Amino acid sequence: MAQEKDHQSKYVRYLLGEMSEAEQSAFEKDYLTDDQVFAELQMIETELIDLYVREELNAADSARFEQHYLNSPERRQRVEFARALQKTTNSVSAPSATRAMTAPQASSESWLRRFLTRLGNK
Amino acid sequence: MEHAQVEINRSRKLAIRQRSQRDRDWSKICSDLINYGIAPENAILASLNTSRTHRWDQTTRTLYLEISRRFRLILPDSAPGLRPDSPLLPKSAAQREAAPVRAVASPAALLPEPSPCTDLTFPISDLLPRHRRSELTRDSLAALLAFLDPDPERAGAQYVRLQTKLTRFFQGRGCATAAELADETLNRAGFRLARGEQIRALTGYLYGVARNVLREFQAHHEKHFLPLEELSLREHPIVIPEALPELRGAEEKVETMLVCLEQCLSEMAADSRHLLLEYYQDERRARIEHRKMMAIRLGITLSTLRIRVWRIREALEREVSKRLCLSTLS
Repeated sequence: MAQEKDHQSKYVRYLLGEMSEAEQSAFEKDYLTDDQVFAELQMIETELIDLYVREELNAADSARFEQHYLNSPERRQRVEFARALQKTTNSVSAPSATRAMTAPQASSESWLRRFLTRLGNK
Repeated sequence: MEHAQVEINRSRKLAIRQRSQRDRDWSKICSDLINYGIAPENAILASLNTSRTHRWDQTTRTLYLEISRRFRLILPDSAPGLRPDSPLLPKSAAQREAAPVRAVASPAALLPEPSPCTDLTFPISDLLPRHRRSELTRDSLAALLAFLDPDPERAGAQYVRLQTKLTRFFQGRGCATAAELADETLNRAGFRLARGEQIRALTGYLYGVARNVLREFQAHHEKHFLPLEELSLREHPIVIPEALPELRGAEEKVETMLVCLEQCLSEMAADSRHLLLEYYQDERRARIEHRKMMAIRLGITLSTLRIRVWRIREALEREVSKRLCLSTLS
Protein backbone atom coordinates (compact mmCIF):
# COMPACT_ATOMS: atom_id res chain seq x y z
CA MET A 1 0.00 0.00 0.00
CA ALA A 2 2.81 2.40 0.94
CA GLN A 3 4.52 1.60 -2.33
CA GLU A 4 1.33 2.43 -4.20
CA LYS A 5 0.99 5.80 -2.44
CA ASP A 6 4.59 6.62 -3.19
CA HIS A 7 3.96 5.74 -6.81
CA GLN A 8 0.88 7.96 -6.91
CA SER A 9 2.64 10.91 -5.29
CA LYS A 10 4.81 11.03 -8.38
CA TYR A 11 1.84 12.03 -10.50
CA VAL A 12 0.90 14.90 -8.23
CA ARG A 13 4.44 16.19 -8.02
CA TYR A 14 4.65 16.06 -11.80
CA LEU A 15 1.42 17.98 -12.24
CA LEU A 16 2.48 20.62 -9.72
CA GLY A 17 5.92 20.95 -11.30
CA GLU A 18 7.84 19.70 -8.29
CA MET A 19 10.06 17.10 -9.91
CA SER A 20 13.74 17.38 -10.58
CA GLU A 21 14.73 17.47 -14.26
CA ALA A 22 15.98 13.87 -14.18
CA GLU A 23 12.87 12.59 -12.43
CA GLN A 24 10.60 14.50 -14.79
CA SER A 25 12.37 13.16 -17.87
CA ALA A 26 12.09 9.58 -16.59
CA PHE A 27 8.41 10.07 -15.79
CA GLU A 28 7.70 11.60 -19.21
CA LYS A 29 9.28 8.60 -20.92
CA ASP A 30 7.17 6.36 -18.69
CA TYR A 31 3.84 7.82 -19.66
CA LEU A 32 4.73 8.18 -23.33
CA THR A 33 5.51 4.47 -23.42
CA ASP A 34 2.95 3.05 -21.03
CA ASP A 35 -0.75 3.68 -21.68
CA GLN A 36 -1.69 2.66 -18.14
CA VAL A 37 0.65 5.20 -16.60
CA PHE A 38 -0.80 7.84 -18.90
CA ALA A 39 -4.38 6.89 -18.00
CA GLU A 40 -3.53 7.14 -14.31
CA LEU A 41 -1.92 10.52 -14.90
CA GLN A 42 -5.07 11.76 -16.62
CA MET A 43 -7.27 10.54 -13.77
CA ILE A 44 -5.14 12.12 -11.07
CA GLU A 45 -5.03 15.33 -13.11
CA THR A 46 -8.83 15.39 -13.22
CA GLU A 47 -9.02 14.81 -9.45
CA LEU A 48 -6.52 17.59 -8.82
CA ILE A 49 -8.54 19.99 -10.96
CA ASP A 50 -11.66 19.05 -9.00
CA LEU A 51 -9.98 19.71 -5.67
CA TYR A 52 -8.86 23.11 -6.96
CA VAL A 53 -12.30 24.03 -8.28
CA ARG A 54 -13.97 22.93 -5.05
CA GLU A 55 -11.45 25.03 -3.13
CA GLU A 56 -10.31 21.96 -1.24
CA LEU A 57 -6.62 22.60 -1.83
CA ASN A 58 -4.77 24.64 0.76
CA ALA A 59 -3.50 28.09 -0.18
CA ALA A 60 0.02 26.91 -1.01
CA ASP A 61 -1.16 24.08 -3.28
CA SER A 62 -3.68 26.36 -4.89
CA ALA A 63 -0.91 28.86 -5.67
CA ARG A 64 1.33 26.08 -7.04
CA PHE A 65 -1.54 24.85 -9.17
CA GLU A 66 -2.16 28.33 -10.58
CA GLN A 67 1.51 29.00 -11.20
CA HIS A 68 2.42 25.72 -12.77
CA TYR A 69 -0.68 23.98 -13.96
CA LEU A 70 -2.72 26.82 -15.42
CA ASN A 71 -0.15 27.67 -18.03
CA SER A 72 -2.07 26.84 -21.15
CA PRO A 73 -5.47 27.69 -22.63
CA GLU A 74 -6.34 23.99 -22.88
CA ARG A 75 -5.71 23.46 -19.17
CA ARG A 76 -7.66 26.57 -18.24
CA GLN A 77 -10.53 25.23 -20.31
CA ARG A 78 -10.39 21.95 -18.37
CA VAL A 79 -10.71 23.93 -15.16
CA GLU A 80 -13.67 25.82 -16.60
CA PHE A 81 -15.29 22.52 -17.51
CA ALA A 82 -14.74 21.20 -13.97
CA ARG A 83 -16.29 24.39 -12.61
CA ALA A 84 -19.34 23.98 -14.84
CA LEU A 85 -19.64 20.31 -13.87
CA GLN A 86 -19.46 21.21 -10.20
CA LYS A 87 -22.23 23.79 -10.61
CA THR A 88 -24.37 21.24 -12.41
CA THR A 89 -23.85 18.47 -9.87
CA ASN A 90 -24.52 20.88 -7.02
CA SER A 91 -27.84 21.81 -8.55
CA VAL A 92 -28.94 18.25 -9.31
CA SER A 93 -30.01 15.74 -6.72
CA ALA A 94 -29.07 12.20 -7.75
CA PRO A 95 -30.80 9.13 -6.34
CA SER A 96 -29.61 8.51 -2.81
CA ALA A 97 -27.23 5.66 -2.29
CA THR A 98 -27.79 2.85 0.09
CA ARG A 99 -25.63 3.37 3.14
CA ALA A 100 -23.67 0.34 4.18
CA MET A 101 -21.79 0.05 7.41
CA THR A 102 -18.44 -1.11 6.17
CA ALA A 103 -14.95 -0.29 7.36
CA PRO A 104 -13.74 2.82 5.52
CA GLN A 105 -11.07 2.25 2.93
CA ALA A 106 -8.99 5.19 1.75
CA SER A 107 -10.04 6.35 -1.69
CA SER A 108 -7.67 7.86 -4.21
CA GLU A 109 -9.09 11.31 -3.63
CA SER A 110 -8.81 11.18 0.16
CA TRP A 111 -5.26 10.02 -0.28
CA LEU A 112 -4.59 12.88 -2.68
CA ARG A 113 -5.90 15.42 -0.20
CA ARG A 114 -3.76 14.00 2.63
CA PHE A 115 -0.71 14.04 0.39
CA LEU A 116 -1.30 17.67 -0.57
CA THR A 117 -1.82 18.61 3.08
CA ARG A 118 1.54 17.05 3.88
CA LEU A 119 3.15 18.95 1.02
CA GLY A 120 1.63 22.18 2.31
CA ASN A 121 2.97 21.57 5.81
CA LYS A 122 6.56 21.13 4.62
CA MET B 1 -0.34 37.84 -44.42
CA GLU B 2 -0.34 35.77 -41.26
CA HIS B 3 -2.96 35.20 -38.64
CA ALA B 4 -1.93 35.81 -35.09
CA GLN B 5 -3.43 36.06 -31.68
CA VAL B 6 -2.25 38.54 -29.14
CA GLU B 7 -2.54 37.92 -25.44
CA ILE B 8 -1.53 39.76 -22.34
CA ASN B 9 -1.56 37.19 -19.58
CA ARG B 10 -1.87 37.33 -15.81
CA SER B 11 1.78 38.05 -15.34
CA ARG B 12 1.47 40.85 -17.89
CA LYS B 13 3.56 39.05 -20.42
CA LEU B 14 2.58 39.61 -23.97
CA ALA B 15 2.25 36.47 -26.03
CA ILE B 16 1.76 36.29 -29.73
CA ARG B 17 0.48 33.07 -31.18
CA GLN B 18 0.30 32.25 -34.80
CA ARG B 19 -1.86 29.77 -36.51
CA SER B 20 0.35 26.86 -37.34
CA GLN B 21 -1.92 24.81 -39.55
CA ARG B 22 -4.56 25.93 -41.96
CA ASP B 23 -7.01 23.26 -40.93
CA ARG B 24 -6.65 23.84 -37.18
CA ASP B 25 -9.48 25.78 -35.67
CA TRP B 26 -8.70 28.97 -33.88
CA SER B 27 -10.13 28.01 -30.56
CA LYS B 28 -7.45 25.38 -30.11
CA ILE B 29 -4.84 28.03 -29.66
CA CYS B 30 -6.89 30.88 -28.38
CA SER B 31 -6.79 32.42 -25.04
CA ASP B 32 -8.29 35.81 -24.68
CA LEU B 33 -7.09 39.28 -24.37
CA ILE B 34 -9.72 40.49 -21.97
CA ASN B 35 -9.30 37.72 -19.43
CA TYR B 36 -5.64 37.99 -18.93
CA GLY B 37 -4.83 41.60 -19.31
CA ILE B 38 -6.22 44.79 -20.57
CA ALA B 39 -9.72 44.95 -21.96
CA PRO B 40 -9.73 45.24 -25.74
CA GLU B 41 -11.87 48.35 -25.57
CA ASN B 42 -9.02 49.90 -23.64
CA ALA B 43 -6.11 48.58 -25.61
CA ILE B 44 -6.07 49.33 -29.27
CA LEU B 45 -4.17 46.83 -31.29
CA ALA B 46 -3.06 47.87 -34.67
CA SER B 47 -0.66 46.37 -37.08
CA LEU B 48 1.87 48.45 -38.91
CA ASN B 49 2.06 46.62 -42.19
CA THR B 50 -1.43 45.50 -42.79
CA SER B 51 -4.49 46.59 -44.65
CA ARG B 52 -7.10 45.50 -42.17
CA THR B 53 -7.83 44.08 -38.77
CA HIS B 54 -9.25 40.64 -39.03
CA ARG B 55 -11.93 39.87 -36.50
CA TRP B 56 -13.00 40.32 -32.88
CA ASP B 57 -14.70 37.22 -31.51
CA GLN B 58 -17.14 38.22 -28.81
CA THR B 59 -17.73 34.65 -27.57
CA THR B 60 -14.12 33.77 -26.97
CA ARG B 61 -13.13 37.42 -26.51
CA THR B 62 -10.24 36.95 -28.81
CA LEU B 63 -8.87 39.40 -31.26
CA TYR B 64 -7.67 37.97 -34.54
CA LEU B 65 -5.42 40.06 -36.69
CA GLU B 66 -4.01 39.88 -40.13
CA ILE B 67 -0.54 41.16 -39.79
CA SER B 68 2.84 41.06 -41.35
CA ARG B 69 5.93 41.15 -39.21
CA ARG B 70 5.21 43.70 -36.51
CA PHE B 71 2.24 45.02 -34.65
CA ARG B 72 1.56 47.96 -32.45
CA LEU B 73 -0.22 48.03 -29.13
CA ILE B 74 -1.70 51.38 -28.26
CA LEU B 75 -2.83 51.95 -24.70
CA PRO B 76 -5.24 54.84 -24.21
CA ASP B 77 -4.28 57.17 -21.41
CA SER B 78 -7.21 56.57 -19.13
CA ALA B 79 -7.51 52.82 -19.53
CA PRO B 80 -8.94 51.19 -16.41
CA GLY B 81 -6.35 49.05 -14.74
CA LEU B 82 -3.57 51.58 -15.17
CA ARG B 83 -2.25 53.02 -11.96
CA PRO B 84 -2.56 56.79 -11.54
CA ASP B 85 1.23 56.97 -11.49
CA SER B 86 1.64 54.83 -14.59
CA PRO B 87 4.24 56.28 -16.91
CA LEU B 88 1.71 55.72 -19.66
CA LEU B 89 -0.58 58.40 -18.32
CA PRO B 90 -0.12 61.95 -19.60
CA LYS B 91 1.74 64.22 -17.21
CA SER B 92 -0.79 67.05 -17.11
CA ALA B 93 -4.52 67.59 -17.29
CA ALA B 94 -4.06 69.32 -20.63
CA GLN B 95 -2.32 66.28 -21.99
CA ARG B 96 -5.05 64.10 -20.53
CA GLU B 97 -7.71 66.07 -22.43
CA ALA B 98 -5.70 65.75 -25.58
CA ALA B 99 -5.77 62.00 -25.22
CA PRO B 100 -9.40 60.93 -25.08
CA VAL B 101 -10.38 57.38 -24.30
CA ARG B 102 -11.16 55.38 -27.39
CA ALA B 103 -14.01 53.00 -27.05
CA VAL B 104 -13.60 50.28 -29.61
CA ALA B 105 -16.99 48.86 -30.41
CA SER B 106 -16.24 46.93 -33.54
CA PRO B 107 -13.27 45.49 -35.37
CA ALA B 108 -13.53 48.28 -37.92
CA ALA B 109 -12.66 50.75 -35.18
CA LEU B 110 -9.40 48.95 -34.60
CA LEU B 111 -7.85 50.29 -37.76
CA PRO B 112 -4.54 51.96 -37.05
CA GLU B 113 -4.61 55.69 -36.77
CA PRO B 114 -2.41 58.32 -35.17
CA SER B 115 -3.00 58.55 -31.47
CA PRO B 116 -1.51 60.64 -28.69
CA CYS B 117 -1.42 57.49 -26.58
CA THR B 118 1.67 55.54 -25.89
CA ASP B 119 2.23 52.81 -28.38
CA LEU B 120 4.47 49.82 -28.10
CA THR B 121 5.80 48.02 -31.09
CA PHE B 122 6.47 44.32 -30.96
CA PRO B 123 8.01 42.03 -33.49
CA ILE B 124 5.94 39.09 -34.61
CA SER B 125 7.72 35.82 -34.74
CA ASP B 126 6.77 32.24 -35.35
CA LEU B 127 6.45 29.62 -32.64
CA LEU B 128 9.48 27.95 -34.12
CA PRO B 129 12.07 29.24 -36.57
CA ARG B 130 10.45 29.04 -39.98
CA HIS B 131 13.13 26.80 -41.47
CA ARG B 132 12.65 24.30 -38.63
CA ARG B 133 8.93 23.80 -39.09
CA SER B 134 7.70 20.66 -40.82
CA GLU B 135 4.60 20.84 -42.94
CA LEU B 136 2.32 17.85 -42.68
CA THR B 137 1.96 16.38 -46.14
CA ARG B 138 -0.38 13.67 -47.31
CA ASP B 139 2.61 11.33 -47.75
CA SER B 140 4.09 11.90 -44.31
CA LEU B 141 0.73 11.47 -42.59
CA ALA B 142 0.08 8.27 -44.56
CA ALA B 143 3.56 6.98 -43.69
CA LEU B 144 3.06 7.68 -40.00
CA LEU B 145 -0.40 6.10 -39.90
CA ALA B 146 0.81 3.02 -41.76
CA PHE B 147 3.66 2.69 -39.29
CA LEU B 148 1.29 2.96 -36.31
CA ASP B 149 -1.12 0.26 -37.46
CA PRO B 150 -2.11 -1.38 -40.75
CA ASP B 151 -5.76 -0.82 -39.82
CA PRO B 152 -6.59 2.84 -40.59
CA GLU B 153 -9.09 3.15 -37.74
CA ARG B 154 -6.72 1.78 -35.13
CA ALA B 155 -3.90 3.89 -36.59
CA GLY B 156 -6.06 6.99 -36.27
CA ALA B 157 -6.84 6.19 -32.63
CA GLN B 158 -3.16 5.58 -31.96
CA TYR B 159 -2.28 8.90 -33.61
CA VAL B 160 -4.74 10.77 -31.38
CA ARG B 161 -3.37 8.97 -28.29
CA LEU B 162 0.19 9.97 -29.15
CA GLN B 163 -0.88 13.53 -29.86
CA THR B 164 -2.62 13.71 -26.47
CA LYS B 165 0.45 12.36 -24.68
CA LEU B 166 2.77 14.76 -26.46
CA THR B 167 0.44 17.67 -25.71
CA ARG B 168 0.63 16.73 -22.01
CA PHE B 169 4.42 16.59 -22.31
CA PHE B 170 4.60 20.14 -23.69
CA GLN B 171 2.05 21.43 -21.18
CA GLY B 172 4.13 19.91 -18.38
CA ARG B 173 7.07 21.85 -19.73
CA GLY B 174 5.15 25.12 -19.54
CA CYS B 175 4.39 25.61 -23.23
CA ALA B 176 1.17 27.52 -23.85
CA THR B 177 1.01 26.24 -27.42
CA ALA B 178 1.43 22.58 -26.48
CA ALA B 179 -0.94 21.19 -29.12
CA GLU B 180 0.94 22.86 -31.96
CA LEU B 181 4.28 21.57 -30.68
CA ALA B 182 2.84 18.06 -30.37
CA ASP B 183 1.73 18.29 -34.00
CA GLU B 184 5.18 19.47 -35.00
CA THR B 185 6.73 16.45 -33.27
CA LEU B 186 4.45 14.04 -35.10
CA ASN B 187 4.99 15.86 -38.39
CA ARG B 188 8.73 15.36 -38.09
CA ALA B 189 8.32 11.65 -37.40
CA GLY B 190 5.98 11.33 -40.40
CA PHE B 191 8.39 13.25 -42.60
CA ARG B 192 11.22 10.90 -41.64
CA LEU B 193 9.11 7.81 -42.32
CA ALA B 194 7.94 9.21 -45.66
CA ARG B 195 11.59 9.55 -46.68
CA GLY B 196 11.95 5.83 -46.07
CA GLU B 197 14.00 6.14 -42.90
CA GLN B 198 13.62 3.52 -40.20
CA ILE B 199 12.32 4.16 -36.71
CA ARG B 200 12.69 1.22 -34.38
CA ALA B 201 10.97 2.33 -31.17
CA LEU B 202 8.48 5.05 -32.03
CA THR B 203 7.72 6.38 -28.55
CA GLY B 204 11.39 6.63 -27.66
CA TYR B 205 12.03 8.37 -30.95
CA LEU B 206 9.11 10.74 -30.43
CA TYR B 207 10.38 11.62 -26.98
CA GLY B 208 13.75 12.58 -28.47
CA VAL B 209 12.09 14.67 -31.19
CA ALA B 210 9.80 16.30 -28.62
CA ARG B 211 12.84 17.31 -26.53
CA ASN B 212 14.40 18.89 -29.63
CA VAL B 213 11.21 20.74 -30.51
CA LEU B 214 11.00 21.97 -26.92
CA ARG B 215 14.58 23.25 -26.99
CA GLU B 216 13.99 25.05 -30.28
CA PHE B 217 10.74 26.53 -29.02
CA GLN B 218 12.32 27.77 -25.80
CA ALA B 219 15.32 29.28 -27.56
CA HIS B 220 13.20 30.94 -30.21
CA HIS B 221 10.59 32.11 -27.73
CA GLU B 222 13.18 33.74 -25.48
CA LYS B 223 14.81 35.42 -28.42
CA HIS B 224 11.73 36.75 -30.17
CA PHE B 225 8.93 37.24 -27.67
CA LEU B 226 9.14 40.40 -25.64
CA PRO B 227 7.79 40.20 -22.11
CA LEU B 228 6.41 43.54 -21.01
CA GLU B 229 8.65 43.37 -17.95
CA GLU B 230 11.64 43.84 -20.20
CA LEU B 231 10.42 47.09 -21.64
CA SER B 232 11.70 50.41 -20.42
CA LEU B 233 9.81 52.00 -17.54
CA ARG B 234 8.35 54.66 -19.79
CA GLU B 235 6.82 52.04 -22.04
CA HIS B 236 5.64 49.73 -19.30
CA PRO B 237 1.85 49.50 -18.82
CA ILE B 238 1.53 49.03 -15.08
CA VAL B 239 -1.67 47.18 -14.37
CA ILE B 240 -3.61 46.85 -11.14
CA PRO B 241 -4.85 43.24 -11.22
CA GLU B 242 -7.89 44.03 -9.05
CA ALA B 243 -9.07 46.61 -11.56
CA LEU B 244 -9.03 44.26 -14.50
CA PRO B 245 -12.33 43.04 -15.85
CA GLU B 246 -11.18 39.45 -16.14
CA LEU B 247 -13.78 38.05 -13.76
CA ARG B 248 -16.55 39.40 -15.96
CA GLY B 249 -15.18 37.43 -18.91
CA ALA B 250 -14.61 34.29 -16.86
CA GLU B 251 -18.18 34.25 -15.57
CA GLU B 252 -19.53 34.59 -19.07
CA LYS B 253 -17.36 31.70 -20.26
CA VAL B 254 -18.52 29.42 -17.45
CA GLU B 255 -22.11 30.34 -18.24
CA THR B 256 -21.67 29.41 -21.90
CA MET B 257 -20.03 26.16 -20.94
CA LEU B 258 -22.76 25.42 -18.42
CA VAL B 259 -25.47 25.68 -21.05
CA CYS B 260 -23.51 23.40 -23.38
CA LEU B 261 -22.78 20.93 -20.58
CA GLU B 262 -26.42 20.69 -19.58
CA GLN B 263 -27.38 20.05 -23.17
CA CYS B 264 -24.77 17.29 -23.53
CA LEU B 265 -25.85 15.74 -20.24
CA SER B 266 -29.46 15.67 -21.35
CA GLU B 267 -28.44 13.77 -24.49
CA MET B 268 -26.33 11.25 -22.59
CA ALA B 269 -27.51 7.72 -21.72
CA ALA B 270 -29.53 7.96 -18.51
CA ASP B 271 -27.46 5.43 -16.52
CA SER B 272 -24.18 7.18 -17.41
CA ARG B 273 -25.66 10.56 -16.48
CA HIS B 274 -26.93 9.32 -13.11
CA LEU B 275 -23.61 7.65 -12.35
CA LEU B 276 -21.67 10.81 -13.16
CA LEU B 277 -23.91 13.18 -11.24
CA GLU B 278 -24.05 10.92 -8.23
CA TYR B 279 -20.28 10.41 -8.21
CA TYR B 280 -19.65 14.14 -7.95
CA GLN B 281 -22.25 14.79 -5.28
CA ASP B 282 -21.53 15.94 -1.74
CA GLU B 283 -18.61 17.66 -0.12
CA ARG B 284 -15.28 16.37 1.14
CA ARG B 285 -15.63 13.39 3.51
CA ALA B 286 -19.28 12.81 2.65
CA ARG B 287 -18.38 12.56 -1.03
CA ILE B 288 -15.74 9.93 -0.34
CA GLU B 289 -18.15 7.89 1.78
CA HIS B 290 -20.85 8.27 -0.83
CA ARG B 291 -18.56 6.85 -3.51
CA LYS B 292 -17.80 3.83 -1.38
CA MET B 293 -21.52 3.21 -1.06
CA MET B 294 -21.95 3.56 -4.79
CA ALA B 295 -19.24 0.98 -5.45
CA ILE B 296 -20.85 -1.47 -3.02
CA ARG B 297 -24.26 -0.91 -4.54
CA LEU B 298 -22.94 -1.51 -8.05
CA GLY B 299 -20.89 -4.51 -6.95
CA ILE B 300 -17.62 -3.10 -8.25
CA THR B 301 -14.44 -1.88 -6.60
CA LEU B 302 -13.89 1.78 -5.89
CA SER B 303 -11.08 1.74 -8.41
CA THR B 304 -13.34 0.36 -11.15
CA LEU B 305 -15.96 2.97 -10.32
CA ARG B 306 -13.34 5.70 -10.53
CA ILE B 307 -12.21 4.53 -13.99
CA ARG B 308 -15.77 4.11 -15.22
CA VAL B 309 -16.79 7.62 -14.16
CA TRP B 310 -13.59 9.13 -15.48
CA ARG B 311 -14.26 7.65 -18.92
CA ILE B 312 -17.79 9.04 -18.95
CA ARG B 313 -16.48 12.42 -17.87
CA GLU B 314 -13.72 12.45 -20.49
CA ALA B 315 -16.23 11.68 -23.25
CA LEU B 316 -18.52 14.41 -21.95
CA GLU B 317 -15.68 16.93 -21.75
CA ARG B 318 -14.61 16.13 -25.32
CA GLU B 319 -18.16 16.59 -26.56
CA VAL B 320 -18.62 19.89 -24.73
CA SER B 321 -15.28 21.11 -26.01
CA LYS B 322 -16.16 20.12 -29.57
CA ARG B 323 -19.48 21.92 -29.46
CA LEU B 324 -17.96 25.04 -27.96
CA CYS B 325 -15.37 25.08 -30.76
CA LEU B 326 -18.10 24.75 -33.37
CA SER B 327 -20.19 27.50 -31.84
CA THR B 328 -17.13 29.74 -31.74
CA LEU B 329 -16.40 29.15 -35.39
CA SER B 330 -19.97 29.61 -36.58
